This record gives sequence, C-alpha cells and structure tokens, in this order.
Amino acid sequence: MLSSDDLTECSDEELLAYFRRGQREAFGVLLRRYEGELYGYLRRYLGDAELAEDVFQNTFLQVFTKINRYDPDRPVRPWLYTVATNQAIDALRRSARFQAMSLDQEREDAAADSPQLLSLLESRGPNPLDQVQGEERGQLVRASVERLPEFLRQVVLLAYYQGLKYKDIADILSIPVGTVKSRLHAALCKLQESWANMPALKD
Amino acid sequence: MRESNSQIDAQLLGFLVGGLEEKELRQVEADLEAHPERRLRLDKLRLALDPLAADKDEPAPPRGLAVRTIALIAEHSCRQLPRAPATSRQSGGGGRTWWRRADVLVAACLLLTFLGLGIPAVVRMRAGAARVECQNNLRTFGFALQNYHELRGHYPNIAEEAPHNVAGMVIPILADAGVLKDTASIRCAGNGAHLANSLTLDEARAIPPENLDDRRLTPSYAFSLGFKDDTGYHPPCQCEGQPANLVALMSDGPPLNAGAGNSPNHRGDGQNVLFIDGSVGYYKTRNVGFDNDIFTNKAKQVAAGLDCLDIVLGRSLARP
Repeated sequence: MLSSDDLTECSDEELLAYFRRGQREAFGVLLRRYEGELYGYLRRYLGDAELAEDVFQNTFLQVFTKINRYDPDRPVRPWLYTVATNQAIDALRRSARFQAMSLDQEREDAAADSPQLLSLLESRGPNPLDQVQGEERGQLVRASVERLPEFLRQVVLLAYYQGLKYKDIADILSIPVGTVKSRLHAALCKLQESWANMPALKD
Repeated sequence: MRESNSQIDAQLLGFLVGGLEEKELRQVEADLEAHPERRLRLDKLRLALDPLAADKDEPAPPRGLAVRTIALIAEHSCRQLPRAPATSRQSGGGGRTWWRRADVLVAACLLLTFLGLGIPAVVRMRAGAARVECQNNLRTFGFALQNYHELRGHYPNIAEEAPHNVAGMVIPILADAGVLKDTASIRCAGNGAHLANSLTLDEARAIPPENLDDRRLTPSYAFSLGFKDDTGYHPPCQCEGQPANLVALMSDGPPLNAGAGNSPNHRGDGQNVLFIDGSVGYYKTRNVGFDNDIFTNKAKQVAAGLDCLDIVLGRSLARP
C-alpha cells in the first residue's frame, strides 16, 4: 500500500488501479486533483454554481459506485469528463434546460452549411469585441458561448477551454472525430457572427 | 484527394487548440512548412479564437467542495447498514441496545469511509498551505532584516536590549526601525491564527523582564542569538568565506525543550529557515548548512554561538 505522499505522484490511471485494489485514499487524491478542473468545466457548462456543485458531487459518486464499469485500458481524464457530461445533461434535462438532441441534429445540418470562417473574418471590419476589455469583454464572450446550441457549445468547452484531444471529445460525446472538427468550425463561425452583431458594441 | 478549405481550417483549428493526435500534429507542421498560404490561414484562425481567451479563467470551486463530496460518498456507502427507525421503540431494553449498535455501526462506517477517502490528505494539504504561509512570513522578515542592515550596518543586536535581551525582541526592533510590513504575522500559520505584531519596542521594554511573555513577542519564530568569542558578543553576521545561503538568521521556533526534535510549528515534521541572503528553505532536520544543530551551540546549549560559524536560533525568550 502506497503512502499518501506517493499517491500524489501517481498518474490518474494508477490512482484508480489502487482504488480498485481497495486503497480508498487513492480515490480522495483523484477527487482533489480534479476538483478545480471538473468544477470549472461544469460551472461553464451549466452556467449555475449550485447546479455545478451538485453535478460535481454526483459525478464522483458515480465514479465511486460504478468503478467496476471503468475500463482500465482507457485513460481516466476523458472517462471522468464522460461521466460529468452525462450527469450535466441529466441535470439540464431535469431542469428542462436541455435542448433535445433531435432539435440539435437539425441544426447540425444547417451548421454543416455554415459560411467559411475566413470569409466571415475577412468580410467584417475591426473586431467589435476590441472595443471592450477586461471583465466586460469576458462576460460578453461567456454570454455568446452560452447562447450557442448545446451540441456546438459542448465542443467549444471541451476543445478550447478544457484542452481535450479531438479523439477524447469524440469518445465523451459519442460522435465521430470528424464531427468534432466540423462542430468546432461551425461554433466559431456562429461566434464570429454573434460578435459582429452585438448591438451593445455597435452603439 | 485534395482537402477543402473547411477541412484545412478544421485541422488548423485542431492544431491551435491542441486537439490533434501526435501524427496529425506532425502532418500539420509539415503542411505549414510547405504552404505559406496555410500559415496565413493559421494566423487568421488564431485571431478568430483570440476573443475566447477573455473568458479563459477557470471558475474556482467553492471552498470545501472536495470534503463535502467525500462526505456525500461516505453517507451513500453506509446506506446499506441497519438504521434506527424514525420512531423509537417502546418495547424492552434489548431492542434499544440493538438500535444503539446499528447507530454506532452507521456512524463508524461514515467515519471510516470519510477518513479513508480523504481527511488525512486534507490535513496534509492544510499543513502544506501553512508551511507556505509561514515561509512568506519569513521572507517578509528577511526583507525587513536586509533593510535594517542597510540602515544600521548590522543585524538587530538583541544583547543591547538587556535586561530584555531575548530573541523575541527582534520583531519589536524591526517594527521600531520602520522596516517591517504589517502583512507579516508573528505567528506561524501551522501553529495558530494570523497574529500581527502587537508590541512596539517601547511597550516591550516597559514590561518587567521577569514578566516577558513568549506569546506577545515573537511566539512562533526563532532569531539568531549571535556569537561570543574572545573579543566579546557579536550580533548575527556573515563570516568571511561563509556562503550567504548557508547563514541562518531566523526559523520556525524550536521545541520548548530545544535539545531535540523539530519545530512544533509543523507538527515536528521540519522547519522553515531564513538565510542571510533572503532565501527560505524547509528542512526536515535541525542540521542546516555547516551547522550541526541550528537550535543549540557547539556546547549543546541554547545560547550565543561559540564562534562565528556556530549559529544558534533561539525561541522568543532565549538569551545569548
């Protein structure tokens, strides 16, 4: 059995392996390792601090109780994101804020026909967001990301803000890698349009 | 097959956000090298992503989230145990004994799960944070001591304060010279709450020597007692040829019985030591630098060193 100090040096996969073998403290080390990162993701995804805390707790409760379902050959980080994302979707469904997938899917077809990102960038003048800085700029960006359709927002959060690999995002969302790429491209097109049309910035 | 611009952009976006696998990454790098127009596209796409960085700061988790989560899991994992009913049983004493046992079982399960999952690590995290806060205090004292040295040409001479010639006078002396910031605490975070310097030099001098109070001077920290040789007493200094990063000036206070053991500030695990060059290190042993023991002199006494290389850091009421 490893000491706690040694556990903090272990990889995520090693921690879950120790936990499966009965060393419960390894679970605590993993939980604290992801406390900031996963909470931050859920806070952005759900847009509500209290809900994010509930979902964070449920995520680790699921990991604790369903550890036998974890495939040891799979990296831990994307698995945690899978559990957290599913928990977040459940929570949004319960609060009736989740956009039904079929609706999203229809929009995805439209997204596939989205204009070229570079054409959008070239056709508009100076970036309207440059007119604001600091906290206000951050709030405007956050609001525009929150307005994206669910299926595009998920990819922006996982790829840009959480820095996950496309392959891992594809696993988490159960979609092909190509779809991850096209969704991120479509999301950026929508964001450019949204920023260009911000009424507050036009004044 | 020729790639469409959308496909190229999607790949370049993946490159910018770090979403590509190693093989794809190398391919994009090769393409960028071979096609200058792709480098232009990459620059434009970078501009498209730039605004997102304005909201890049990760929302911080609420305090105690990890501990609350562990408590929830502990509660959940103990739900299978027998529990006392909502209303108490009126019949016989035997029944009551059984319910008490059930309660004890549940409580023990909660406690064991909670302890097993995380409390030791939480305690360690707090200890680590206290160690860092304590080091910051010592760094602040280090700045103050350097400034004092620049002003007076020597480090505080506690022997001059007789009959108040104790190590703990160092903080009132620094405060009196106007070199100590209020942000430093005279108490190490590992050994109690933050406590700003509360005694001025005049107030400290006004206390009868026999009533000097460890808790009101510099309760958590030790200061160099200087050394005595044939020519008399000398305040702390750097001897010729002695590296500045090995000359200890202050540290976490030694245990009450300074003969053995680490500072109690960090549960006996070790002590932070401030050196004359302003650096601070954490040591799990009392043997620091050239010195055999930073808390006693070569004669194993808590008193001034016996030569310039013999450094002794004394707790608040220690005298040279």
